[in-house]
Amino acid sequence: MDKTMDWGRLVGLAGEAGSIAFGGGGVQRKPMSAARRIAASAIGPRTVVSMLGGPETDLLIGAGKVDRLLFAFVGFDAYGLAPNFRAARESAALEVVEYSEGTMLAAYDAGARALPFLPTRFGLGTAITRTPNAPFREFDCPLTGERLLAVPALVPDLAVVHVNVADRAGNALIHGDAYADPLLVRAARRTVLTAERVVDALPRELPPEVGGRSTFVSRLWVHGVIEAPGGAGMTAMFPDYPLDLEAVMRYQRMAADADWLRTFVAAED
Amino acid sequence: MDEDFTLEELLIARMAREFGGEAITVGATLLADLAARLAKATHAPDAFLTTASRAAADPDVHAKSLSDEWVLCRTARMALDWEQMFQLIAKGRLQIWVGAVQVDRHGASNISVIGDWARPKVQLIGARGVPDDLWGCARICYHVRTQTKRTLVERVDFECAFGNRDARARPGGPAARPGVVVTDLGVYDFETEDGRMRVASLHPGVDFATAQARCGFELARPDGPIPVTPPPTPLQRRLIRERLDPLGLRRLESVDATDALTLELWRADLPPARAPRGAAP
Repeated sequence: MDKTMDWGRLVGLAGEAGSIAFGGGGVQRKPMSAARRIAASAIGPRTVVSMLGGPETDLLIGAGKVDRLLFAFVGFDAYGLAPNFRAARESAALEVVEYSEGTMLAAYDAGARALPFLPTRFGLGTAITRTPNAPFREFDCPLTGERLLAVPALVPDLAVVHVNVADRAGNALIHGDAYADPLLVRAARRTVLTAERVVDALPRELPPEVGGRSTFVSRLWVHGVIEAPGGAGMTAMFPDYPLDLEAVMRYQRMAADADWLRTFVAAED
Repeated sequence: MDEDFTLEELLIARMAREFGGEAITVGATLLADLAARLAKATHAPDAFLTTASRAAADPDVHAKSLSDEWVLCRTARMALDWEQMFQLIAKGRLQIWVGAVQVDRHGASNISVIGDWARPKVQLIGARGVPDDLWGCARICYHVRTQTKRTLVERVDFECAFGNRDARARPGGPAARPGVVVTDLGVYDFETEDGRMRVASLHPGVDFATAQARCGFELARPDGPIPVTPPPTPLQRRLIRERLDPLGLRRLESVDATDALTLELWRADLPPARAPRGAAP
């Protein structure tokens, strides 16, 4: 089955989705082309899920497309804080649900297993369990009596993940850090991959720098594929292109300016 | 500070001491990452390195890069997927230096928000993996870049990891104890009867009064004279300068680091050009 689609279809799916999740992490392998299309569209604000949010989350917040954010991190890794996320939080203009990495992985895992929750020890006793809207609940293990944390399943309506290469059916390879994306695509109701390259058949032989370390995503979890060369934008896409630190720093300086952000969102890939 | 070494080199050497054995070895700040590499190059050859390069995990010791995957992929043995990484953490197979924004008197830490969570004075990065790391190692160590009354505080604004306060009221199980805290002034531990922060050593040229004046609570003192943090050995200095960080990326964590320096080092450190976008297999 050929699952290739265009940006208009992605925006349509985003419009049908109550919650949209993004793959990658910080300033690595972020689906920037997709996020810019969604930011430029007419769809209203959505619940956005990003375990490790970066510029994709920040620009959607700046474009007014986020009314609720589920996250464990939003930032630019070693290169500073996210300006629109910061401004929205400091003016209490954004509802957020704060997870940790381990609890969000458990939430995706529960979603992928079609379970209502999974127990974990991660996060137990920390402030993320005591925020006013924390979704977690402590309970005593029915088998051992140990205190554990119940993490409810997270099933985003739409997941968007950027990959190095995909075939038309949705089989794909991620050469860099896959972060939580293998669990995310299995948890989500629908997944759209944006890919540096769409090919008829995935390569049998991989470049030596990725060795045997690529992550395989099966078409069974994939609803759509969009070819998006340079689709990670200014974020790093191993091994295709490194971080564009000048662009990242420019974004951090300018992105709180609504006019500048509108131009950034509308820019060509 | 002695002209023979910088504060950054002293901190790298001191942090390296806490790493050992066969475990996931994470230095979550640039200096702590260099400390992990230094440990592996010297007393901890079995250390399993992953920082910022989980797709190129368990590499040999390489020079630190701002594009680490492009370097570490040359010897990486595996890609450590996040499911397995958190299984290893759940089994306590982690040793970590966390970069904390606030650490409190009893060793709780915060990287998420300053002020009230509902409307923060400063929104930082979120709790990230700290609430998980807490349940993944025996001791959790903190690198605080600049010691002030706002970074070493009576009580953190948001407990990403809890410390020794009310320890008996915490849920049961194998949570980490706060281990060692390093700052630009000294090294601290929690080896008092009630688990409060204590001076373990002060860096060369720093006296107790200075450390106390830049701390938001009363520091406990060790019995007897306060030790001086040992300087990096000649071997450690040579390894740091020649093998682990020849570009001098460690300068990015010095007090006088600037965006211009970051850009200059980033340009000097760009990975070799590859095929243009869209052309590679």
